[in-house]
Amino acid sequence: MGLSPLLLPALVLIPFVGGLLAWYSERLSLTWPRWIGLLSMAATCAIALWIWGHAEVPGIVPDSRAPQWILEYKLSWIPRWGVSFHFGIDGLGLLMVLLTGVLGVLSVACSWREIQQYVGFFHLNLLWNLAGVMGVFMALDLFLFFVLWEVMLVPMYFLIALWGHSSTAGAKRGHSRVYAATKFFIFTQSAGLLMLVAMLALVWLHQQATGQWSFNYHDLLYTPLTHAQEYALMLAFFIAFAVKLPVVPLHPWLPDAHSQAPTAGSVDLAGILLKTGAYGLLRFVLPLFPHASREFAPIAIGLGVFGILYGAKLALVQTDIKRLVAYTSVSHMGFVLLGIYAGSTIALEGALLLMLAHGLATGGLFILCGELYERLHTRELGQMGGLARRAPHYATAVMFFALASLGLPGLGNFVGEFLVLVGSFPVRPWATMLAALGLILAAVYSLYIVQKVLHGPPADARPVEDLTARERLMIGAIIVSLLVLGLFPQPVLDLARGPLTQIGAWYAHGVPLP
Amino acid sequence: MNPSWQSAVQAGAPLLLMAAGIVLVMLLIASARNHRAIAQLTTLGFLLTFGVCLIPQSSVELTTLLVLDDTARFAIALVAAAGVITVLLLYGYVEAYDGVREEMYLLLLIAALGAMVLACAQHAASLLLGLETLSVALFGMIAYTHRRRRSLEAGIKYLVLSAAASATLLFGFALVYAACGELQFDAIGTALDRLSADERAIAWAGLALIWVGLGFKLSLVPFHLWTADVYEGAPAPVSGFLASVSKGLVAVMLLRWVSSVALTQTPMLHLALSVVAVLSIAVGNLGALQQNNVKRVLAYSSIAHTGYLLVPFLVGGLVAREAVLVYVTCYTVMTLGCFGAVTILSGPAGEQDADHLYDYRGLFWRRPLVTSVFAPMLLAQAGLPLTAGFLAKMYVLAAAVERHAWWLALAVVAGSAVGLYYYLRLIVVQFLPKPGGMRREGVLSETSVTAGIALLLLIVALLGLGVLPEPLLSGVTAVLNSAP
Repeated sequence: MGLSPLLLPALVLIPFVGGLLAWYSERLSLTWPRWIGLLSMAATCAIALWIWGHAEVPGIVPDSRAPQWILEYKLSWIPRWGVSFHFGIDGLGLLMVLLTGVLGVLSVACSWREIQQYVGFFHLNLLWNLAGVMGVFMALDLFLFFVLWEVMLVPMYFLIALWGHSSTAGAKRGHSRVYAATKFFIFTQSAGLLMLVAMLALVWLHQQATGQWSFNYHDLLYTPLTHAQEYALMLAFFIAFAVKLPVVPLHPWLPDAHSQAPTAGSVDLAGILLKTGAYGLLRFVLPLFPHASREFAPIAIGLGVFGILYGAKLALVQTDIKRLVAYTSVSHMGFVLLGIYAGSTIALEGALLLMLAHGLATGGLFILCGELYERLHTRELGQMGGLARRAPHYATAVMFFALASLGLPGLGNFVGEFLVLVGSFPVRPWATMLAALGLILAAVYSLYIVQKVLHGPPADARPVEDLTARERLMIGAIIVSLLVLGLFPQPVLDLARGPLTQIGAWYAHGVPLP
Repeated sequence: MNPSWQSAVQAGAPLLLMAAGIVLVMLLIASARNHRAIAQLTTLGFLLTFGVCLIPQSSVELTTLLVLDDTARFAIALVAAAGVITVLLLYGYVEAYDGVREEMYLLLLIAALGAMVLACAQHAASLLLGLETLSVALFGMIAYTHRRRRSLEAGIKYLVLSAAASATLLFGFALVYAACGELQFDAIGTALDRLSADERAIAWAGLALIWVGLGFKLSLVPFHLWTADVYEGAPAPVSGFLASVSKGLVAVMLLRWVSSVALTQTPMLHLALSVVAVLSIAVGNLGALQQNNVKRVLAYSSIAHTGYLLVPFLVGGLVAREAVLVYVTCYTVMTLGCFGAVTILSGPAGEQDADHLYDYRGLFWRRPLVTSVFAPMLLAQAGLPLTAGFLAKMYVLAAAVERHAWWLALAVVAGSAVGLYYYLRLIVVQFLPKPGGMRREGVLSETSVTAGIALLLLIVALLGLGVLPEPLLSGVTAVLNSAP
């Protein structure tokens, strides 16, 4: 049975329309927006699974000239510039879309009790943000990609600025949630504009070579570029994605945005938005600029390894639990960067798996932080303690995610990190060895969380409510997914092997002309 | 070649219609003052003018002064559309004014006529004529609420600086005439090439002075000092008209000017203007950061926008010419929208409009519809996709990239990044809770409905241009391709 290409725009439109409905339904009742949000995200998950179930995954085609898509949808938009609504999905994109759907459901669910103000408008922003992300993972037109890239920013800005927390540590330094939101927005947007200039330059060079304006991915892949041009354009794209990932000198927005955002915002940021950076590197930077990327690889890998150690080191000295988790993301994303620029198929698969597992595990950790904040009204590690006895189920969940984060075998993160290290070692032995040190630091900070939150004397004698049924359901779902990723990663790897092999081959030898 | 009588009338119809409207309104004011009838008549005049411009025609020269080609018709239609919006915004504002009301429309029509003449100018005389007609009417409009100290001050400030600018411009043309013996744009351009070294020095000085004079009108740095004070002092709908039409039409006129007198003929001037563009972007954006008054923020942002707009003039080429028209159109929509939102919250009573940042706190929860227009307008000014503002910015960047003007492109990017900060501040403040002010406010009356219609039209235009830009783009391409 064939799949309808209309499923792709539907993946973007469902959350978009759902957001509008949620906003409007606020006047009926405060639970309506929540249910609408939940159902629309569940629908996107269902569509993604449906596509996976019915897809004829193209076999491994390393030397195939043109990229292969499971589904493709194209509609002319601005003919003057050769711009079209061009969506396409392959195994890589499909997995990211599925991750977005799952974390979208979780974001709505974890806000059920936390968000009590402007409920409709909150869900409008959340769903529009998710719609933008869905589009980013499918866009095959650079113009459309840029538009969606920005579409996901504005709602995120509002999520942080309107529903965020002002941390006590931050408030002392005059850092409010609006400050964090503005910092996030300016970092991403200015890097995005740089990417826009590079896009226009690439399109113009393509027009010079062929006489045709086109923003189409398929056309631009074969743009003839001189060495200097390729390097400059690659750098602009890399910076835009590096801000999102984040790569270390460009990361200062991340701890502020993560810690100040509401729970759903943190889940969304850590789980999905960071992945758009990695996805951008895989989908655009490596294939469009293979030679320059290969030349740049030592620097990128250096930054990645530095990020692994630096993020882990900084995580160790945090007193705010959300900032701590935020810095662990910096560390984990260093592994992703290492895997991407190592470029072997195994390393790329590891990076992809790590992205998925990190999205789930960190999402879970942020949800637990949010639950904790609802109960204790603090995020300071010094004011916690003794939860193991006061809330045993909660404590078990924290323990599980801490272990996932340190890379315990049997969970998704382990498979990802292991594959990255195995795949990188033959290419860059020294960098890989240094990166492996990050695993030790990961064990230290994960156990530090466990120690501070769960054990030791409780800060006060108040009883703490244990996980509710809704929370158990959410946490349980993530735990199961992480176990599945850790124990049976093969179906996921099979799905993405085709595109990843192809990207790896392009990265190694350049894109062959059609 | 003299056009036939009929084709001349047909081509000149927009200008004739405007002139007829002015006379009618003046007579009506003299005989019977009726605010509503006059506002309706003015709207009708603008609508007819707009309609006439849509009729396809070949390009006609009316004497050596004016040329009515597609570019001119495009610009006239834009002025007429902006005129309609301004009338709709003015109606409620002026209705609450306790002095004479009707003259505002007369001044508006005169200013619009001046702007339209500017769009057709191909001769120094018609340029000055159009510019002066526009400016003189604007003095009156700016100082219309003359019992407010700021408004009067703004009017006088604009008068003095505008007179200085006109004098500079005149002197510039005098020098150019002394060197070339020509006043028509094309003739000046061809004459420049065959000047001796001495004459060329005089001509270049003249050209520089012309740019200085126009720089005042465009509020380019360092001729921008009047902008913030005048925008703040003028009634909000007038500031909108001033910012969009007066600047936009000078830019359209410059398009004609540089296609005759190319900037590449004068490398010194080209360099100086590049510096001016970068400075305008820097000063406008950095200046806006420090403002707490919404109208002043918009004024500084308009300085930055003229900086961006100067970029396509500097790089040249077909994409650049398209960029100018696209930019002017999009900029008109978003500027009118921003000042329209200020208008709807303001009135002529009291010492100033609702322009303090505090007035906007919690606006989304009190007047959600106003914020639903204002926030996208500000996002458009910041250049976010799916709005007209993105289209404008993308065109400027594309023009710069095409000619390898990397520094200018970087200046635009850096300026936009800084600009985000103050636009976002203006947006987020509308969503923040205001102590004690979370109740819904809403006044449904004829006056708020007319302004509401204006805002509705603008937001439709903003999103329409952003989402489906093809009609505008093909229109602009057609307009420019028809030019000789």
